[in-house]
Amino acid sequence: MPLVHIRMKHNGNTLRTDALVDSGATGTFIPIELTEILGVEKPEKTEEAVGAGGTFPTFVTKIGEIEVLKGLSVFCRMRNYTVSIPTNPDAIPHSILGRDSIFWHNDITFREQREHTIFRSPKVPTKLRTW
Amino acid sequence: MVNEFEYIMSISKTLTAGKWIAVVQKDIIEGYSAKEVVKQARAKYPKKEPFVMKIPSNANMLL
Repeated sequence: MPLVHIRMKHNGNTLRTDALVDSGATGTFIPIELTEILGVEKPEKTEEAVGAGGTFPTFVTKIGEIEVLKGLSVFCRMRNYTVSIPTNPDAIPHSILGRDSIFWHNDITFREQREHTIFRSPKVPTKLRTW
Repeated sequence: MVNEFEYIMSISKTLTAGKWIAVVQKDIIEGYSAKEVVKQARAKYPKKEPFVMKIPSNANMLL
Protein backbone atom coordinates (compact mmCIF):
# COMPACT_ATOMS: atom_id res chain seq x y z
CA MET A 1 0.00 0.00 0.00
CA PRO A 2 1.47 3.42 -0.93
CA LEU A 3 1.66 4.90 2.54
CA VAL A 4 3.86 7.87 3.37
CA HIS A 5 4.98 9.46 6.60
CA ILE A 6 3.49 12.91 7.16
CA ARG A 7 3.53 15.63 9.77
CA MET A 8 0.54 17.91 10.24
CA LYS A 9 0.73 21.28 11.99
CA HIS A 10 -2.12 23.50 13.05
CA ASN A 11 -2.46 26.25 15.66
CA GLY A 12 0.83 25.30 17.30
CA ASN A 13 -0.12 21.62 17.53
CA THR A 14 1.77 18.97 15.61
CA LEU A 15 1.58 15.24 15.05
CA ARG A 16 3.01 12.68 12.69
CA THR A 17 0.94 9.97 11.05
CA ASP A 18 0.66 7.86 7.91
CA ALA A 19 -1.15 8.86 4.74
CA LEU A 20 -2.31 6.98 1.69
CA VAL A 21 -1.14 8.40 -1.64
CA ASP A 22 -4.32 8.00 -3.65
CA SER A 23 -4.44 8.93 -7.31
CA GLY A 24 -8.14 8.06 -7.30
CA ALA A 25 -8.99 10.76 -4.77
CA THR A 26 -9.57 14.26 -6.07
CA GLY A 27 -9.19 15.75 -2.59
CA THR A 28 -7.22 15.39 0.61
CA PHE A 29 -8.95 13.78 3.59
CA ILE A 30 -7.98 13.69 7.26
CA PRO A 31 -9.65 11.47 9.91
CA ILE A 32 -11.66 13.54 12.34
CA GLU A 33 -9.86 12.03 15.34
CA LEU A 34 -6.56 13.55 14.18
CA THR A 35 -8.07 16.96 13.48
CA GLU A 36 -9.43 17.03 17.03
CA ILE A 37 -5.92 16.46 18.39
CA LEU A 38 -4.65 19.29 16.18
CA GLY A 39 -7.45 21.62 17.27
CA VAL A 40 -8.76 22.17 13.75
CA GLU A 41 -11.90 24.32 13.78
CA LYS A 42 -14.84 22.68 12.03
CA PRO A 43 -17.26 24.76 9.97
CA GLU A 44 -20.94 24.66 10.87
CA LYS A 45 -22.03 23.15 7.57
CA THR A 46 -20.95 19.89 6.00
CA GLU A 47 -20.34 19.08 2.34
CA GLU A 48 -20.96 15.77 0.63
CA ALA A 49 -18.04 13.71 -0.64
CA VAL A 50 -18.42 10.66 -2.87
CA GLY A 51 -16.66 7.43 -1.97
CA ALA A 52 -16.89 3.82 -3.10
CA GLY A 53 -19.61 3.22 -0.52
CA GLY A 54 -21.69 6.21 -1.55
CA THR A 55 -21.78 9.79 -0.36
CA PHE A 56 -20.69 10.85 3.10
CA PRO A 57 -20.65 14.19 4.91
CA THR A 58 -17.40 16.07 5.46
CA PHE A 59 -16.25 19.29 7.03
CA VAL A 60 -14.19 21.23 4.51
CA THR A 61 -11.62 23.50 6.12
CA LYS A 62 -7.98 24.50 6.03
CA ILE A 63 -5.10 22.95 7.91
CA GLY A 64 -1.96 24.92 8.72
CA GLU A 65 0.65 22.69 7.15
CA ILE A 66 1.21 19.17 5.87
CA GLU A 67 4.78 17.95 5.48
CA VAL A 68 5.61 14.74 3.65
CA LEU A 69 8.66 13.04 5.13
CA LYS A 70 11.33 10.65 3.97
CA GLY A 71 12.92 9.37 7.12
CA LEU A 72 12.57 12.51 9.20
CA SER A 73 13.45 14.91 6.36
CA VAL A 74 10.72 16.97 4.72
CA PHE A 75 10.55 16.54 0.94
CA CYS A 76 7.19 18.15 0.28
CA ARG A 77 5.48 20.93 2.22
CA MET A 78 1.92 22.15 1.71
CA ARG A 79 0.79 25.21 3.65
CA ASN A 80 -2.70 26.42 4.48
CA TYR A 81 -4.22 23.48 2.67
CA THR A 82 -7.88 22.73 2.15
CA VAL A 83 -8.84 19.31 3.49
CA SER A 84 -12.02 17.34 3.92
CA ILE A 85 -12.77 15.79 7.29
CA PRO A 86 -15.34 12.98 7.26
CA THR A 87 -17.80 13.49 10.12
CA ASN A 88 -17.89 9.73 10.75
CA PRO A 89 -14.77 8.56 12.63
CA ASP A 90 -14.72 5.24 10.74
CA ALA A 91 -15.16 6.69 7.26
CA ILE A 92 -11.50 6.45 6.20
CA PRO A 93 -8.75 4.17 7.53
CA HIS A 94 -5.89 6.61 6.81
CA SER A 95 -5.29 10.21 5.97
CA ILE A 96 -5.52 10.46 2.18
CA LEU A 97 -3.35 12.63 -0.03
CA GLY A 98 -5.27 13.05 -3.24
CA ARG A 99 -4.63 14.70 -6.57
CA ASP A 100 -5.09 18.20 -5.20
CA SER A 101 -2.09 17.95 -2.90
CA ILE A 102 0.99 15.79 -3.29
CA PHE A 103 0.31 15.10 -6.98
CA TRP A 104 0.71 18.83 -7.69
CA HIS A 105 4.21 18.78 -6.24
CA ASN A 106 5.53 15.42 -7.44
CA ASP A 107 5.35 13.06 -10.37
CA ILE A 108 4.51 9.77 -8.69
CA THR A 109 5.15 6.22 -9.86
CA PHE A 110 3.74 3.19 -8.08
CA ARG A 111 5.96 0.12 -8.43
CA GLU A 112 3.60 -2.45 -7.02
CA GLN A 113 5.83 -5.50 -7.46
CA ARG A 114 8.68 -3.82 -5.60
CA GLU A 115 6.35 -2.20 -3.06
CA HIS A 116 7.95 1.13 -3.88
CA THR A 117 6.43 4.52 -4.54
CA ILE A 118 8.69 6.96 -6.34
CA PHE A 119 8.33 10.73 -6.01
CA ARG A 120 10.08 12.95 -8.55
CA SER A 121 10.13 16.70 -8.79
CA PRO A 122 8.17 17.62 -11.92
CA LYS A 123 10.15 18.90 -14.89
CA VAL A 124 7.51 21.52 -15.49
CA PRO A 125 7.38 24.00 -12.59
CA THR A 126 4.29 23.46 -10.45
CA LYS A 127 2.91 26.94 -11.14
CA LEU A 128 2.86 26.31 -14.87
CA ARG A 129 1.07 22.99 -14.67
CA THR A 130 -2.44 22.73 -16.00
CA TRP A 131 -4.91 19.87 -15.70
CA MET B 1 18.07 5.03 13.12
CA VAL B 2 14.66 3.70 12.06
CA ASN B 3 11.89 6.21 12.65
CA GLU B 4 8.52 5.26 14.10
CA PHE B 5 6.76 5.11 10.72
CA GLU B 6 9.31 2.68 9.30
CA TYR B 7 9.26 0.65 12.50
CA ILE B 8 5.47 0.32 12.48
CA MET B 9 5.42 -0.60 8.79
CA SER B 10 7.91 -3.39 9.54
CA ILE B 11 5.75 -4.92 12.29
CA SER B 12 2.28 -3.89 11.10
CA LYS B 13 1.03 -7.46 10.67
CA THR B 14 1.53 -8.13 14.37
CA LEU B 15 -0.68 -5.23 15.49
CA THR B 16 -4.39 -5.35 16.32
CA ALA B 17 -6.56 -3.91 13.56
CA GLY B 18 -8.92 -1.17 14.63
CA LYS B 19 -6.80 0.16 17.49
CA TRP B 20 -5.14 3.55 17.59
CA ILE B 21 -1.47 3.67 18.45
CA ALA B 22 0.92 6.39 19.51
CA VAL B 23 4.55 5.45 19.00
CA VAL B 24 7.72 7.00 20.39
CA GLN B 25 10.85 5.23 19.23
CA LYS B 26 9.83 1.57 19.72
CA ASP B 27 7.37 2.15 22.55
CA ILE B 28 3.81 1.55 21.30
CA ILE B 29 0.86 2.85 23.31
CA GLU B 30 -2.39 1.22 22.15
CA GLY B 31 -6.00 2.14 22.71
CA TYR B 32 -9.36 2.73 21.08
CA SER B 33 -9.14 6.54 21.18
CA ALA B 34 -6.63 8.64 19.26
CA LYS B 35 -6.84 11.43 21.82
CA GLU B 36 -6.20 9.05 24.69
CA VAL B 37 -3.11 7.37 23.21
CA VAL B 38 -1.62 10.75 22.27
CA LYS B 39 -2.31 12.07 25.77
CA GLN B 40 -0.53 9.07 27.28
CA ALA B 41 2.41 9.37 24.88
CA ARG B 42 2.81 13.09 25.60
CA ALA B 43 2.69 12.44 29.33
CA LYS B 44 5.31 9.72 29.06
CA TYR B 45 7.52 11.52 26.52
CA PRO B 46 6.83 15.25 26.91
CA LYS B 47 9.71 16.32 24.66
CA LYS B 48 8.95 13.88 21.84
CA GLU B 49 6.55 14.11 18.92
CA PRO B 50 4.55 10.87 18.81
CA PHE B 51 3.64 9.09 15.59
CA VAL B 52 -0.10 8.34 15.58
CA MET B 53 -2.13 6.01 13.41
CA LYS B 54 -5.07 3.66 13.36
CA ILE B 55 -4.14 0.07 12.56
CA PRO B 56 -6.03 -0.84 9.40
CA SER B 57 -7.49 -4.25 8.73
CA ASN B 58 -5.84 -6.42 6.11
CA ALA B 59 -9.04 -6.56 4.08
CA ASN B 60 -9.08 -5.40 0.49
CA MET B 61 -9.76 -1.72 0.33
CA LEU B 62 -11.72 0.33 -2.16
CA LEU B 63 -11.97 3.99 -1.31
